[in-house]
Amino acid sequence: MSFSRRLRWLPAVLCGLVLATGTPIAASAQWHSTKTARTGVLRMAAPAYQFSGPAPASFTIAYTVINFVDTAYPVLTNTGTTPASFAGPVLSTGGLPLGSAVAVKSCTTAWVLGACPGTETTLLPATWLSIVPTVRYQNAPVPAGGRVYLQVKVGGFLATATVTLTVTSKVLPAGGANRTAG
Amino acid sequence: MSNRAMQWLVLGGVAAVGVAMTSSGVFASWVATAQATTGSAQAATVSLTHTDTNGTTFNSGVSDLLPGDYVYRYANLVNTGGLAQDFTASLSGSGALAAAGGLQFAVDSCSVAWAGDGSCAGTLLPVAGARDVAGAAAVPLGQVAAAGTSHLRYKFVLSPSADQATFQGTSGTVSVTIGGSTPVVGGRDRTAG
Repeated sequence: MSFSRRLRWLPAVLCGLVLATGTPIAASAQWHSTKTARTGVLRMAAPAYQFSGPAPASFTIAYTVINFVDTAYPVLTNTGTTPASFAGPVLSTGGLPLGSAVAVKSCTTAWVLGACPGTETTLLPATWLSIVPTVRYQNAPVPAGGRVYLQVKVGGFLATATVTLTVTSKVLPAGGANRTAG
Repeated sequence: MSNRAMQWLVLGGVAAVGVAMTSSGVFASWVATAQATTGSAQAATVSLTHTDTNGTTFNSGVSDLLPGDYVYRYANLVNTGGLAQDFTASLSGSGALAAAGGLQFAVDSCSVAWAGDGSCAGTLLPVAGARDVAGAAAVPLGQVAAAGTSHLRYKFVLSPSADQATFQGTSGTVSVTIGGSTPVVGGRDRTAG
Protein backbone atom coordinates (compact mmCIF):
# COMPACT_ATOMS: atom_id res chain seq x y z
CA MET A 1 0.00 0.00 0.00
CA SER A 2 1.44 3.34 -1.04
CA PHE A 3 1.88 6.18 1.42
CA SER A 4 -0.85 8.25 -0.19
CA ARG A 5 -3.24 5.29 -0.04
CA ARG A 6 -2.51 4.79 3.63
CA LEU A 7 -3.11 8.47 4.19
CA ARG A 8 -6.62 8.15 2.80
CA TRP A 9 -7.44 5.52 5.48
CA LEU A 10 -6.23 7.72 8.32
CA PRO A 11 -9.47 9.75 8.83
CA ALA A 12 -11.54 6.56 8.94
CA VAL A 13 -9.24 5.02 11.54
CA LEU A 14 -9.36 8.15 13.67
CA CYS A 15 -13.15 8.25 13.54
CA GLY A 16 -13.29 4.62 14.65
CA LEU A 17 -11.05 5.29 17.60
CA VAL A 18 -13.14 8.24 18.74
CA LEU A 19 -16.35 6.21 18.56
CA ALA A 20 -14.82 3.23 20.29
CA THR A 21 -13.60 5.28 23.25
CA GLY A 22 -16.58 7.61 23.46
CA THR A 23 -19.42 5.10 23.56
CA PRO A 24 -18.55 3.15 26.73
CA ILE A 25 -17.76 6.30 28.63
CA ALA A 26 -21.23 7.61 28.05
CA ALA A 27 -22.87 4.30 28.94
CA SER A 28 -20.99 3.93 32.23
CA ALA A 29 -21.55 7.45 33.38
CA GLN A 30 -23.81 6.47 36.32
CA TRP A 31 -22.85 8.16 39.54
CA HIS A 32 -22.15 6.15 42.64
CA SER A 33 -22.05 6.66 46.37
CA THR A 34 -20.90 4.19 49.01
CA LYS A 35 -20.69 3.89 52.75
CA THR A 36 -19.42 1.04 54.93
CA ALA A 37 -20.46 0.05 58.43
CA ARG A 38 -18.84 -2.71 60.45
CA THR A 39 -20.41 -4.72 63.22
CA GLY A 40 -18.76 -5.18 66.55
CA VAL A 41 -17.13 -8.48 67.41
CA LEU A 42 -19.61 -11.35 67.48
CA ARG A 43 -18.25 -14.25 69.49
CA MET A 44 -19.51 -17.78 69.99
CA ALA A 45 -19.50 -19.10 73.50
CA ALA A 46 -16.81 -21.52 74.62
CA PRO A 47 -17.75 -24.22 77.13
CA ALA A 48 -15.41 -24.88 80.03
CA TYR A 49 -15.38 -27.25 82.97
CA GLN A 50 -13.29 -28.58 85.78
CA PHE A 51 -13.29 -31.66 87.95
CA SER A 52 -12.74 -31.58 91.65
CA GLY A 53 -9.34 -32.88 92.66
CA PRO A 54 -5.82 -31.93 91.77
CA ALA A 55 -6.21 -32.14 87.97
CA PRO A 56 -9.12 -29.97 86.77
CA ALA A 57 -9.21 -31.52 83.30
CA SER A 58 -9.87 -35.08 84.50
CA PHE A 59 -10.53 -37.12 87.58
CA THR A 60 -8.40 -40.15 88.34
CA ILE A 61 -9.25 -42.90 90.76
CA ALA A 62 -6.36 -45.11 91.79
CA TYR A 63 -6.87 -48.71 92.93
CA THR A 64 -4.32 -50.91 94.49
CA VAL A 65 -6.52 -53.73 95.70
CA ILE A 66 -7.79 -56.88 94.07
CA ASN A 67 -11.35 -58.04 93.74
CA PHE A 68 -12.76 -54.98 95.39
CA VAL A 69 -15.41 -52.39 94.72
CA ASP A 70 -14.48 -48.83 95.46
CA THR A 71 -16.45 -45.63 95.14
CA ALA A 72 -15.36 -42.06 94.43
CA TYR A 73 -17.36 -38.84 94.40
CA PRO A 74 -15.93 -36.38 91.88
CA VAL A 75 -17.70 -33.12 91.17
CA LEU A 76 -17.89 -31.70 87.67
CA THR A 77 -18.38 -27.93 87.51
CA ASN A 78 -19.41 -25.95 84.44
CA THR A 79 -16.97 -23.05 84.60
CA GLY A 80 -18.16 -21.53 81.34
CA THR A 81 -20.53 -18.62 80.94
CA THR A 82 -23.28 -20.56 79.22
CA PRO A 83 -24.99 -23.90 79.76
CA ALA A 84 -23.16 -26.85 78.28
CA SER A 85 -23.13 -30.62 78.12
CA PHE A 86 -20.05 -32.70 78.77
CA ALA A 87 -19.13 -36.26 77.90
CA GLY A 88 -16.03 -38.35 77.63
CA PRO A 89 -14.58 -41.85 77.83
CA VAL A 90 -13.66 -43.60 81.04
CA LEU A 91 -10.04 -44.56 80.57
CA SER A 92 -8.16 -47.13 82.56
CA THR A 93 -4.54 -48.03 82.97
CA GLY A 94 -2.80 -51.00 84.46
CA GLY A 95 -3.96 -54.60 84.44
CA LEU A 96 -7.53 -55.07 83.33
CA PRO A 97 -8.63 -58.67 83.68
CA LEU A 98 -12.09 -59.56 82.51
CA GLY A 99 -14.73 -58.51 84.96
CA SER A 100 -13.52 -55.01 85.70
CA ALA A 101 -16.48 -52.67 85.43
CA VAL A 102 -17.47 -49.10 86.14
CA ALA A 103 -20.82 -47.49 86.99
CA VAL A 104 -21.56 -43.76 87.20
CA LYS A 105 -24.48 -41.95 88.82
CA SER A 106 -25.21 -38.30 89.42
CA CYS A 107 -27.03 -36.43 92.14
CA THR A 108 -28.48 -32.95 92.08
CA THR A 109 -26.87 -32.27 95.45
CA ALA A 110 -23.77 -33.52 97.18
CA TRP A 111 -23.77 -37.18 98.10
CA VAL A 112 -24.11 -37.87 101.82
CA LEU A 113 -22.67 -41.13 103.08
CA GLY A 114 -23.28 -42.80 99.74
CA ALA A 115 -26.85 -41.59 99.46
CA CYS A 116 -28.30 -38.91 97.20
CA PRO A 117 -30.45 -36.43 99.12
CA GLY A 118 -31.73 -34.97 95.87
CA THR A 119 -32.53 -36.56 92.56
CA GLU A 120 -30.36 -39.50 91.57
CA THR A 121 -29.71 -40.36 87.93
CA THR A 122 -27.85 -43.28 86.46
CA LEU A 123 -25.47 -41.97 83.85
CA LEU A 124 -23.67 -45.21 83.09
CA PRO A 125 -24.89 -48.59 84.27
CA ALA A 126 -22.21 -51.11 85.20
CA THR A 127 -20.13 -51.48 82.05
CA TRP A 128 -16.94 -53.34 81.27
CA LEU A 129 -13.97 -51.06 81.41
CA SER A 130 -12.34 -52.97 78.62
CA ILE A 131 -14.69 -51.43 76.07
CA VAL A 132 -13.75 -47.90 77.18
CA PRO A 133 -17.27 -46.69 77.89
CA THR A 134 -18.31 -43.10 77.32
CA VAL A 135 -20.15 -41.18 80.01
CA ARG A 136 -22.54 -38.33 79.44
CA TYR A 137 -22.23 -36.39 82.67
CA GLN A 138 -25.73 -34.97 82.62
CA ASN A 139 -29.13 -35.55 81.10
CA ALA A 140 -29.73 -31.84 80.55
CA PRO A 141 -27.19 -29.10 79.89
CA VAL A 142 -25.42 -28.00 83.03
CA PRO A 143 -26.12 -24.32 83.69
CA ALA A 144 -23.23 -21.90 83.89
CA GLY A 145 -21.59 -22.40 87.26
CA GLY A 146 -23.66 -25.51 87.85
CA ARG A 147 -22.25 -28.68 89.40
CA VAL A 148 -22.79 -32.35 88.77
CA TYR A 149 -22.20 -34.53 91.83
CA LEU A 150 -20.94 -37.86 90.57
CA GLN A 151 -20.67 -41.27 92.13
CA VAL A 152 -18.22 -43.61 90.40
CA LYS A 153 -18.09 -47.26 91.36
CA VAL A 154 -15.30 -49.41 90.05
CA GLY A 155 -15.19 -53.13 90.69
CA GLY A 156 -13.55 -56.31 89.54
CA PHE A 157 -10.09 -57.68 89.39
CA LEU A 158 -8.08 -54.53 89.33
CA ALA A 159 -4.49 -54.67 90.32
CA THR A 160 -2.69 -51.39 90.74
CA ALA A 161 -4.88 -49.79 88.13
CA THR A 162 -6.30 -46.34 87.66
CA VAL A 163 -9.60 -45.23 86.19
CA THR A 164 -9.83 -41.73 84.76
CA LEU A 165 -12.90 -39.71 83.91
CA THR A 166 -12.28 -37.42 80.98
CA VAL A 167 -14.16 -34.88 78.87
CA THR A 168 -13.73 -34.98 75.13
CA SER A 169 -17.07 -33.50 74.10
CA LYS A 170 -18.26 -30.06 75.16
CA VAL A 171 -21.50 -29.11 73.51
CA LEU A 172 -23.43 -25.88 73.76
CA PRO A 173 -27.20 -26.12 73.70
CA ALA A 174 -29.28 -24.60 70.94
CA GLY A 175 -29.83 -20.90 71.49
CA GLY A 176 -32.18 -18.94 69.31
CA ALA A 177 -32.34 -16.00 71.68
CA ASN A 178 -32.60 -12.38 70.64
CA ARG A 179 -29.25 -10.95 71.76
CA THR A 180 -29.75 -7.46 70.37
CA ALA A 181 -29.33 -5.94 73.80
CA GLY A 182 -26.08 -7.83 74.40
CA MET B 1 11.28 39.47 -10.52
CA SER B 2 8.97 39.56 -13.50
CA ASN B 3 6.39 42.28 -14.12
CA ARG B 4 3.58 39.83 -13.42
CA ALA B 5 5.00 38.99 -10.08
CA MET B 6 5.44 42.63 -9.23
CA GLN B 7 1.78 43.27 -10.03
CA TRP B 8 0.66 40.55 -7.68
CA LEU B 9 2.87 41.90 -4.94
CA VAL B 10 1.38 45.38 -5.18
CA LEU B 11 -2.14 44.01 -5.20
CA GLY B 12 -1.44 41.94 -2.12
CA GLY B 13 -0.01 44.94 -0.30
CA VAL B 14 -3.04 47.06 -1.04
CA ALA B 15 -5.35 44.34 0.21
CA ALA B 16 -3.43 44.02 3.43
CA VAL B 17 -3.55 47.75 4.10
CA GLY B 18 -7.28 47.75 3.42
CA VAL B 19 -7.95 45.00 5.88
CA ALA B 20 -5.89 46.74 8.53
CA MET B 21 -7.67 50.03 8.07
CA THR B 22 -11.18 48.68 8.27
CA SER B 23 -10.54 46.67 11.38
CA SER B 24 -9.45 49.47 13.69
CA GLY B 25 -9.46 53.15 14.26
CA VAL B 26 -11.69 55.58 12.49
CA PHE B 27 -12.11 53.30 9.56
CA ALA B 28 -13.59 50.54 11.69
CA SER B 29 -17.23 49.71 11.25
CA TRP B 30 -19.59 50.11 14.25
CA VAL B 31 -20.71 46.88 15.87
CA ALA B 32 -23.51 46.35 18.37
CA THR B 33 -23.27 43.30 20.71
CA ALA B 34 -25.57 41.68 23.24
CA GLN B 35 -24.65 39.13 25.88
CA ALA B 36 -26.94 36.53 27.45
CA THR B 37 -26.00 34.19 30.30
CA THR B 38 -27.72 30.89 31.02
CA GLY B 39 -29.16 30.13 34.39
CA SER B 40 -26.99 28.16 36.72
CA ALA B 41 -26.68 24.62 35.47
CA GLN B 42 -25.48 22.51 38.38
CA ALA B 43 -24.39 18.91 38.20
CA ALA B 44 -26.41 16.57 40.44
CA THR B 45 -24.87 15.10 43.58
CA VAL B 46 -25.19 11.55 44.86
CA SER B 47 -24.60 10.73 48.49
CA LEU B 48 -26.08 8.70 51.32
CA THR B 49 -26.07 8.30 55.06
CA HIS B 50 -26.46 5.07 57.00
CA THR B 51 -27.30 5.92 60.55
CA ASP B 52 -27.87 3.79 63.64
CA THR B 53 -31.38 3.96 64.94
CA ASN B 54 -33.94 2.32 67.18
CA GLY B 55 -31.59 2.05 70.12
CA THR B 56 -28.99 -0.13 68.47
CA THR B 57 -25.39 0.62 67.67
CA PHE B 58 -24.11 -1.09 64.58
CA ASN B 59 -20.56 -1.53 65.80
CA SER B 60 -21.36 -2.96 69.22
CA GLY B 61 -20.45 -6.60 69.70
CA VAL B 62 -21.98 -9.57 71.49
CA SER B 63 -20.27 -12.46 73.25
CA ASP B 64 -21.31 -15.94 74.32
CA LEU B 65 -23.50 -16.57 71.31
CA LEU B 66 -25.17 -19.95 71.17
CA PRO B 67 -26.19 -21.61 67.91
CA GLY B 68 -29.27 -19.84 66.60
CA ASP B 69 -28.78 -16.68 68.66
CA TYR B 70 -29.30 -13.51 66.69
CA VAL B 71 -28.65 -9.79 66.89
CA TYR B 72 -30.68 -7.01 65.29
CA ARG B 73 -29.09 -3.81 64.10
CA TYR B 74 -31.30 -1.02 62.78
CA ALA B 75 -30.16 1.66 60.37
CA ASN B 76 -31.76 4.41 58.35
CA LEU B 77 -30.47 4.59 54.83
CA VAL B 78 -31.07 8.13 53.61
CA ASN B 79 -30.54 9.21 50.05
CA THR B 80 -29.00 12.62 50.62
CA GLY B 81 -28.31 13.21 46.96
CA GLY B 82 -30.36 15.03 44.39
CA LEU B 83 -31.28 11.98 42.33
CA ALA B 84 -33.03 8.72 42.99
CA GLN B 85 -30.57 5.91 43.59
CA ASP B 86 -30.64 2.15 43.43
CA PHE B 87 -28.97 0.77 46.54
CA THR B 88 -27.26 -2.53 47.24
CA ALA B 89 -25.68 -3.97 50.35
CA SER B 90 -22.48 -5.97 50.01
CA LEU B 91 -21.54 -7.98 53.07
CA SER B 92 -18.18 -9.45 53.91
CA GLY B 93 -16.89 -11.06 57.04
CA SER B 94 -13.61 -11.29 58.85
CA GLY B 95 -12.58 -13.70 61.57
CA ALA B 96 -13.08 -17.42 61.96
CA LEU B 97 -16.73 -17.15 62.93
CA ALA B 98 -17.54 -15.47 59.61
CA ALA B 99 -16.50 -18.54 57.66
CA ALA B 100 -19.08 -20.64 55.85
CA GLY B 101 -21.49 -22.24 58.30
CA GLY B 102 -20.86 -19.61 60.99
CA LEU B 103 -22.34 -16.13 60.85
CA GLN B 104 -25.38 -15.54 58.72
CA PHE B 105 -27.43 -12.46 57.95
CA ALA B 106 -30.84 -11.39 56.79
CA VAL B 107 -32.26 -7.98 55.90
CA ASP B 108 -35.76 -6.57 56.29
CA SER B 109 -37.14 -3.13 55.72
CA CYS B 110 -40.15 -1.33 57.09
CA SER B 111 -42.10 1.36 55.29
CA VAL B 112 -42.06 3.45 58.47
CA ALA B 113 -39.59 3.75 61.30
CA TRP B 114 -39.17 0.54 63.30
CA ALA B 115 -40.88 0.55 66.67
CA GLY B 116 -38.79 0.30 69.79
CA ASP B 117 -39.83 -3.31 70.30
CA GLY B 118 -38.65 -4.19 66.81
CA SER B 119 -42.10 -4.39 65.29
CA CYS B 120 -43.08 -2.74 62.03
CA ALA B 121 -46.26 -0.70 62.09
CA GLY B 122 -46.14 -0.23 58.34
CA THR B 123 -45.37 -2.68 55.60
CA LEU B 124 -42.69 -5.24 56.41
CA LEU B 125 -40.63 -6.13 53.40
CA PRO B 126 -38.23 -9.07 53.58
CA VAL B 127 -35.23 -7.93 51.59
CA ALA B 128 -32.93 -10.92 51.98
CA GLY B 129 -33.47 -14.24 53.70
CA ALA B 130 -30.93 -15.79 56.05
CA ARG B 131 -27.73 -16.80 54.32
CA ASP B 132 -24.08 -17.21 55.13
CA VAL B 133 -22.04 -14.03 55.24
CA ALA B 134 -19.23 -15.93 53.55
CA GLY B 135 -19.64 -15.75 49.83
CA ALA B 136 -22.86 -13.79 49.93
CA ALA B 137 -23.83 -11.95 46.79
CA ALA B 138 -24.75 -8.28 46.95
CA VAL B 139 -28.30 -7.69 48.22
CA PRO B 140 -30.48 -5.27 46.25
CA LEU B 141 -32.07 -2.81 48.67
CA GLY B 142 -34.30 -1.17 46.09
CA GLN B 143 -34.59 2.37 44.85
CA VAL B 144 -34.82 5.32 47.21
CA ALA B 145 -35.95 8.70 45.92
CA ALA B 146 -33.92 11.80 46.53
CA ALA B 147 -34.20 12.74 50.21
CA GLY B 148 -36.01 9.44 50.84
CA THR B 149 -35.30 7.04 53.68
CA SER B 150 -35.20 3.26 53.82
CA HIS B 151 -35.72 1.81 57.29
CA LEU B 152 -33.48 -1.23 57.41
CA ARG B 153 -33.09 -4.02 59.94
CA TYR B 154 -30.09 -6.31 59.77
CA LYS B 155 -30.28 -9.66 61.49
CA PHE B 156 -26.98 -11.33 62.25
CA VAL B 157 -27.39 -14.96 63.22
CA LEU B 158 -25.04 -17.61 64.48
CA SER B 159 -26.10 -20.51 62.31
CA PRO B 160 -28.29 -22.96 64.25
CA SER B 161 -26.21 -25.74 62.73
CA ALA B 162 -22.84 -24.13 63.38
CA ASP B 163 -20.23 -26.83 63.86
CA GLN B 164 -19.29 -26.62 67.51
CA ALA B 165 -15.87 -28.12 67.17
CA THR B 166 -15.05 -25.53 64.54
CA PHE B 167 -16.59 -22.38 65.93
CA GLN B 168 -16.70 -22.58 69.74
CA GLY B 169 -14.90 -19.57 71.17
CA THR B 170 -14.23 -17.98 67.79
CA SER B 171 -15.29 -14.51 66.75
CA GLY B 172 -15.96 -12.48 63.65
CA THR B 173 -17.20 -9.19 62.34
CA VAL B 174 -19.32 -8.28 59.37
CA SER B 175 -18.83 -5.26 57.13
CA VAL B 176 -21.78 -3.89 55.25
CA THR B 177 -21.02 -1.64 52.30
CA ILE B 178 -23.98 0.27 50.95
CA GLY B 179 -23.64 1.28 47.35
CA GLY B 180 -25.92 3.67 45.56
CA SER B 181 -26.01 4.42 41.87
CA THR B 182 -28.19 6.58 39.75
CA PRO B 183 -30.59 4.42 37.80
CA VAL B 184 -30.26 6.50 34.64
CA VAL B 185 -27.26 7.55 32.63
CA GLY B 186 -28.54 10.99 31.80
CA GLY B 187 -29.06 12.29 28.31
CA ARG B 188 -32.49 13.63 29.27
CA ASP B 189 -34.12 16.69 27.77
CA ARG B 190 -34.03 19.10 30.73
CA THR B 191 -35.25 22.12 28.77
CA ALA B 192 -38.23 22.52 31.05
CA GLY B 193 -36.11 22.22 34.16
